[in-house]
Amino acid sequence: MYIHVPCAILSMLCFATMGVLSTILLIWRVQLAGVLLRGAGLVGCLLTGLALITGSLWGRPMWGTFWIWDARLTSELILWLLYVALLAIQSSFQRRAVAERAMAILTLVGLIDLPIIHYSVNWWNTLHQGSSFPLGQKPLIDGAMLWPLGVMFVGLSLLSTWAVLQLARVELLKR
Amino acid sequence: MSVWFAMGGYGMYVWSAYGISVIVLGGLVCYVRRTVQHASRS
Repeated sequence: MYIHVPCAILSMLCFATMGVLSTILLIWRVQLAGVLLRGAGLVGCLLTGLALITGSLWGRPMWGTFWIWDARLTSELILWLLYVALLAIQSSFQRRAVAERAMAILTLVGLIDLPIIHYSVNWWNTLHQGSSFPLGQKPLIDGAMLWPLGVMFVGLSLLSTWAVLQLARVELLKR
Repeated sequence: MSVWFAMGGYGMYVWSAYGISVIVLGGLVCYVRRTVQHASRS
């Protein structure tokens, strides 16, 4: 739980951030947005993959299966495939600007997956449990578990931010 | 100690998850550091 939940939340936050960067890149043509987009794609892909793997390892003892095609798991898998597609696009074009524009467009199209992932447990009959942090209510997790979860979330956020910024630094050094 | 490692019978899953996480996140850190070093030198 202390890895799966923060990774899952961060995978969606990363994609949402990429959506904002894509908008900035396409509308205002700020090159730094494209630089950050590249690093965020790799980090997001790894976080999503980790969320899926740790979720499977959690699901086996809890549900009796590593995988099931329920709404939450399937939509998170689609998010991972989107990230993989973004990484493939990065190296598919000779011109960097064209690659970044293609990545930005795919990111904006893929943003529809985020509310699907988030609300899937409400919209469909899923094996995956519902939200433990309902809006406007007390969290459903006990405090003894909430604090370590918060610490892991902050830690993984800082690690992800560091990685994205360092990869952006590499990209800027190459240019 | 063996009781702690057993994690209530879920030890196999818990330690597998932690192990994979360490490999993936540690690999990311190593890859990023190595890439920055190479880019800084060239």
